[in-house]
Amino acid sequence: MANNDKKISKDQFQPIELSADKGEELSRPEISYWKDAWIRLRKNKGAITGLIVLIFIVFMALVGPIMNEYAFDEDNYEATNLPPRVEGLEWLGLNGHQSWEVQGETPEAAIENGLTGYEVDEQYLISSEIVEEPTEENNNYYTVEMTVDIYPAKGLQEENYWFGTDKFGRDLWTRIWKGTQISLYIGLLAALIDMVIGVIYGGVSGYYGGRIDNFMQRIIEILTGIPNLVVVILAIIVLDPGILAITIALTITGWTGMARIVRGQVLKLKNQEFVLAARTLGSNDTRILMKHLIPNVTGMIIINTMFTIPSAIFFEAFLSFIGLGLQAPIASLGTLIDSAFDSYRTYPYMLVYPAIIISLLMIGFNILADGLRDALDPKMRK
Amino acid sequence: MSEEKLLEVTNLKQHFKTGRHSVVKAIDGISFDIYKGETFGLVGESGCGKSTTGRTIIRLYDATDGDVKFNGVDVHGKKSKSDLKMFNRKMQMIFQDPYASLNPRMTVKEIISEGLDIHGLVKDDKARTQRVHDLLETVGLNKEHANRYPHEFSGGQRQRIGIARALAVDPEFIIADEPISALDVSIQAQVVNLLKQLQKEKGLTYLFIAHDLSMVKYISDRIAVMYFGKIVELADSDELYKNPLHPYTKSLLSAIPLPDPDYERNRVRTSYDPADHDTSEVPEFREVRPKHWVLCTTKEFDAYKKQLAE
Repeated sequence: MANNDKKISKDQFQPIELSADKGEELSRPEISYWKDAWIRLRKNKGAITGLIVLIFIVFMALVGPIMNEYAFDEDNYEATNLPPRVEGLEWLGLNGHQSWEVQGETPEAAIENGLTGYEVDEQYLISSEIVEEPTEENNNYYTVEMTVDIYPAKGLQEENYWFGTDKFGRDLWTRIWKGTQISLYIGLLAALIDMVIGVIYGGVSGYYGGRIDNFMQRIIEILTGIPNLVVVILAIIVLDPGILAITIALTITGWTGMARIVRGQVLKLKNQEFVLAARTLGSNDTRILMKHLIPNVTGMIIINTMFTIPSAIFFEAFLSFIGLGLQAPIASLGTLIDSAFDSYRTYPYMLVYPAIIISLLMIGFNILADGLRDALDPKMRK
Repeated sequence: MSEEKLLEVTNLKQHFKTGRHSVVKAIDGISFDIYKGETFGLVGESGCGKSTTGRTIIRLYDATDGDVKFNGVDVHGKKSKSDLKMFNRKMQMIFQDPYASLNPRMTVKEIISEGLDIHGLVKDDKARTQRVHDLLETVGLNKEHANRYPHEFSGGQRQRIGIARALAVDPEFIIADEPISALDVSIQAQVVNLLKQLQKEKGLTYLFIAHDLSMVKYISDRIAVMYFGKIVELADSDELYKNPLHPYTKSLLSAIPLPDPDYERNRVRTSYDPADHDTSEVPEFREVRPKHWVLCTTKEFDAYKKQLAE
């Protein structure tokens, strides 16, 4: 044998005391449901990354707008369409240089056209590059890409717009984080509606069953049968387009998915023996619902909420993008993307930053929800 | 065992609607009395209505027809809240599946103290903890178990937690709905002995529902045999084993195996065919011999009497 040389002395052993009570002892440490779930979640790298990204975005949404001196609705016609400039991060391309494509009979004439057209003094021209030689198609004009240092050219040597400005000269940094606030508010609202209306409606429908359940489920079917967009348009007709209309549209239709899930779970649980036991002890319906049924559905509720939040955020962005959502000067990620979309070839930074933020929000919520599903309901893991 | 009736069930019926026109008659007019301090066994095959009987008596289902009197008071029909609460305290239930009968999101302390809280039996948390510890000790568990969750316990331990929960409200009558059928044999004996010991200490009355005849004989004073929603035979347990009259009871008894090879080699299992009965009239529940009741027609009644006289 391989470990023959290892001598095990007798004093390394200790006899176990034999008694009747020992059989009933539990040696495992006490772990509550939530602690156990947290241990599982912590092992999931994706979910933790999502969580960190979300915490960062929430933090920035709260702190971002007050990090500089610009207000989100402060117009400045001196500083329109400025590209991002951050002191110290010039090497990253955040140097406030703006490129335009200009045309002229000669390269020099093209640049001259550009400088007068954009009202920039020649000394701020940094570089120029011929993009296209003259051909028949472009009237024998040269196309030249010229890059200028736009901040001093506009006399804004002292200013730094971290994410640039839009066509009214409003600071995009402030507007983006303000818009993120709106998105997060919509997400929070959707979660709240899900948790309150959805859970109670589904719980009552499933628990009482029979005719009540039948009636309540038909109402849900009618509500889900109406397209969301129709509800929003109706809300806009009655109210002004804006956050209130979206809130109402979400309140009317947003909770049906949750109600169905909770109903299904409650239907499954309500005939379990522990519920019968509670009834024989004299529990009333409220107690059974709140103490026995809902706690056993919390995992599903949280998971479903986490999936509802990103879809609600996207719903708002979509509405804003097609012009049914928030109205200027209020910013939301959807309206920012909408207005940047008109000129994204010339001013791509206007589109890129809100697009990145909304993508991070969606991905963050989704992978965190995925991780939570595994952590809270290990049986559902594939 | 006294002759005082604790529970009187008269012509109890429980019909479930399964469709617009179809009805399942889970219990179809059964009557029996349970005396104070006794253990009344209820046996029968799966789906014959044993559990439904237990659940209907404790009002988990509303009876279609019939009376249930507890201590001489009708417990079904409309009741005031305080009457219902009183009734809930007096009558408790132990469930079949120890894995489904404890709420997985509650600690053992919360599970056991639920009845205490509903009925306001303890003043503060200290008293509650003390009572839970006492109850855990009564059923042979440690007080350290109070803060644990049910999934950490074995089937037998869970069943004992279920018993502690039922005992928390000081009931007089406990319906044990197949409390041992989900446990392995050594644990079965542990739980049954615990139930017997509790009966002695607290003067409890049991309705013991089971399909394991040997275990029922061990614990019961009287046994009722159920078949398709009807009680077909009711007698003292010794009498029932010695002189089974109804062919279904005979068939059930012939199915009990014994750890005796000689006996097993010669054991003949009789099968029960409902078509063998006399169909000249609707069978009634008749007392063939004092305290021995059989569901039979007049013709069969005479035949059974003759059989007993031999």
